[in-house]
Amino acid sequence: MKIIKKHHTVIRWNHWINFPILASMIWSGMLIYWSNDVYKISLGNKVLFKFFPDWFYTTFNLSQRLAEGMAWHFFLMWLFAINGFVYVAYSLISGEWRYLVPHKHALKHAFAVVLHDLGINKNPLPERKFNAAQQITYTGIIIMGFFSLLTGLAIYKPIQLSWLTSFLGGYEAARLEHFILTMGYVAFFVIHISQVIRSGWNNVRSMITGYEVVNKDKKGYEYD
Amino acid sequence: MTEQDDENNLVDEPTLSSSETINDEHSINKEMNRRLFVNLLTGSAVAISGLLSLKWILSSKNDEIPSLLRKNHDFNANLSKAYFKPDRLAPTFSENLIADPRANGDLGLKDDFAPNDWLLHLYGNNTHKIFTLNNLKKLPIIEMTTELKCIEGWSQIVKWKGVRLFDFLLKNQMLSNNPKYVSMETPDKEYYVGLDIESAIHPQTLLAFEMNNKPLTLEHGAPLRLVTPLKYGIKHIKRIGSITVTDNKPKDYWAEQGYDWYSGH
Repeated sequence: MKIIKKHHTVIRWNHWINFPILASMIWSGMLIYWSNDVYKISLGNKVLFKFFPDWFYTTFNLSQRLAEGMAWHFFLMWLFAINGFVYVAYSLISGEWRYLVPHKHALKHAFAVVLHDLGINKNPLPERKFNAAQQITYTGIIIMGFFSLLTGLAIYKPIQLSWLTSFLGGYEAARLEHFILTMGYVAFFVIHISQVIRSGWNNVRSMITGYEVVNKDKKGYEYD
Repeated sequence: MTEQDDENNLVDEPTLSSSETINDEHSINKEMNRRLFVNLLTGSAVAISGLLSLKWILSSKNDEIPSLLRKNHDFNANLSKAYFKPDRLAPTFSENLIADPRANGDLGLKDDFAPNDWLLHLYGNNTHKIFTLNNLKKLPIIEMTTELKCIEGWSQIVKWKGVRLFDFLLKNQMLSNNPKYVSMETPDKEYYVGLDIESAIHPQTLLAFEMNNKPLTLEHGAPLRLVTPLKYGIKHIKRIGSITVTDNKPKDYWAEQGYDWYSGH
C-alpha cells in the first residue's frame, strides 16, 4: 500500500466551492422562476409534470421573492463565473484537462462502464483517474456551466447582447434553455452522489485530501 | 490542503519519481487521517467564514435588499452602461405575432380620470411646459413591433405607436445641458420611474399612445405611456402625468421594492 496524489489542490477548491455557489444559484433561480412558472411536461393535452407543484414552493419557501431572487442571482453569477474560469484556466495550464476530456473511443468505453455499473458486465474496468463515462459527464457538466452563463447573459441583457440571444433562439428560448440546464445539474447531482457513494471512502477522501491509497506497484495516474 | 509536506517519502507524485514507499498500513492510515483532518479543518474554517460573510451581508439593507446586493446591482448597471451603444437596437418582429400583453399593475391608475382633460407636464432646465396629446402628435410618429419583457419572466410581442422621447426632449431644449436622468410620474404620483439618459434618448424609447393598432385603453396606460424595449415592463410607466429632466438619480417605485434601479437590457 502507498499514498499517491490524485486531485490537485486548485481543482479540489474549485469543486467544493462550486457546490454552495451552484446550490445558491439554483435557489435564487427558483425564486425568479416562481413568478412565471410556465414549464411543464405534457403528453398531448395531459400534463405529466408541472415545474413546480405548489407543495414545492411552499416547502422551500420560494413564493413572492422575485426581487430577492434577482438580487442574489446577479451577485452569485460572478462567483459562479469566476470559479468556473479559474477551474478551466487551471485545467488548461496544468494539463489536467487531459484526464477529463473524452478520448477517441470514449463512447464505446462509456457504454462498457454503464453495463458494468448496472451489474450486467462483471469484468473489471481498467483503472484510470476518470473512466470514459466520467470523462463524458464531467466534460459535459463544464460545457453546461458555460452554456448556463451564455443563456443567462442572453436573458439578462437581451438587447446589448442581442446577437447572443438570437443565436440561442430568442429571449424565450434562452430562458427555457437556462431552465433545462439547471434541471440537468439536479439530475447530475443525484447520479453523482450515488456514484460517489458506490465508489467508496478511499475515492471520496481523495477529493477532500487530494491523495489516494493504492497498491504498492501502482504508478501515478497517466493521461490516456 | 498543504503541499509543502509532500517531500516526505510517504507520497508518490504523479511525476512517477522513484520515491520510497511505506508498506506499513498503520502509518498510511495515520498519514491519511492527518491529511483528512487538516483538510476538513481548513474546509470548516472556510465554511464558517462563508456563513459569517452571509450574516454580514444580511445585516444591512438598502431598499428591501441587502446593501451589498444593491451595490452589486449598481455595479452591474455601470458595466452594462459602459458596454451600451445607442445604435444597438432591440429586434423587431412581424406584425403577425402581436397580441395584447397582460395589463399587470394598476398603480397610479386608481383614481377617477378623464383622459380628455389630461395634460402632460414637462420640467427641466428651470422651465415648466404643458402639452396636450395633439401637441405631441406633431412630432414624427413612430411605429415599432418589439418584445415587451416583464420582469416576472414572460414576454409578448406588441406593436406600439408613439413619438420618440428623444424628439420630444430635443424639441423642447431639454438636452442642451447633457442631463443624466429622466424621471416620470403618474398624475397622482403613486407610480414613478427613473431612466438613465442613454436609455431615455434611445431611438426605440417612445411616448406611446397606441398599442396593437388601437388607442391605449385605460388599463394599458391611456392616454400616454412609456415604451422602451431596453427595459423591463416595470419601467413602461402608464398614464404619464409629468416628465422631469434632471441630474439627480430619480426615485423609482420598484427599485424601492427591492428591484434593480437600472433594470436595463
